[in-house]
Amino acid sequence: MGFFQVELTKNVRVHPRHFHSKLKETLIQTLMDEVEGTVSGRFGFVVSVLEVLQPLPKGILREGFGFAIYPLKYKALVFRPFKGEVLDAVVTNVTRHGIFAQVGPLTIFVSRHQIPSDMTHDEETASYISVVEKAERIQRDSAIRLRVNGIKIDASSFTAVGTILDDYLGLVE
Amino acid sequence: MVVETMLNRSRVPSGLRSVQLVPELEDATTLQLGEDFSSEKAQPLTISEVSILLSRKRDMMRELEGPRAEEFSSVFKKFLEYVERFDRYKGLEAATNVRSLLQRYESLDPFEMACLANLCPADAEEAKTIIPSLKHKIDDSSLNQLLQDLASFTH
Repeated sequence: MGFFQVELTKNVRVHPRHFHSKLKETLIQTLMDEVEGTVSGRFGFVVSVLEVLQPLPKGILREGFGFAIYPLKYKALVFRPFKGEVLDAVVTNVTRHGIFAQVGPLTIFVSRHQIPSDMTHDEETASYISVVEKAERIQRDSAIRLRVNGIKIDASSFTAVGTILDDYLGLVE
Repeated sequence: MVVETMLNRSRVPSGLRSVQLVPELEDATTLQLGEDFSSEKAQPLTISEVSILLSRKRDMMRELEGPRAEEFSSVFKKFLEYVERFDRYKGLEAATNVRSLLQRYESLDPFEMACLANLCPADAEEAKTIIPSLKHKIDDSSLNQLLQDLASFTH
């Protein structure tokens, strides 16, 4: 859930100054510099390049420019959230409107209406406390298990909303 | 957002239908992950496996000298922190055992396998509630056995 290994392609452009024995290393390093840490609506967060498929393809020289383009195929570790999946997340912020939690760099908002009504917001401690079980408190750095209710995707990022209303959701650890 | 409200599926020419409507069709509870994440194209990984991959990468980067050594993207750092916190099995041997155990249950989708490993439900009822696609796929006693075996690998 969330993390996948996928095969992707990227056209890596290389300047003629690199056309020597270290070309392969340059290609791989350039690929990593260009894709690692990026996020797309389609594949999610590219966390790490795992492997560049061998043999490397031949470069295609651009007429009149001298650059070569290498269509590299590589395996990547990505994180892609899906509506309906259950995830554990770390609480970063608690307000009377709801809870902000993170899965790595992905922020998921759980609105007040998606928190059980037997939990009340305590302004002073910036937390949600259960009226039944006072020890049960959701605050910054708590881990909560939530279900992703909705995801909005645009070209380069995600916003997600979630719920802890259903059975087996809520505080973990 | 404008794209989503403007496009009415039935009136859009078929060439445009693929744009930005994908999230509406996805639903993990019925294993609809879209074409890019079908089981032929994408392999779901457990948090433990990701933890191993990321720490190897971090160790490799540290061995390099000079300015490259600590140049991790913030995406990488945040996921590394996340998996270290939620890794239940800790270590290559446990992670491998978990993977072998899950692979034996051929009726399960790889996505469901990763969910079970990551969420570690206590019993079949919890498992089928948080991963609804399991409901008619595996009987409770087999599922309970699997969950017990998984729990034996946790740290």
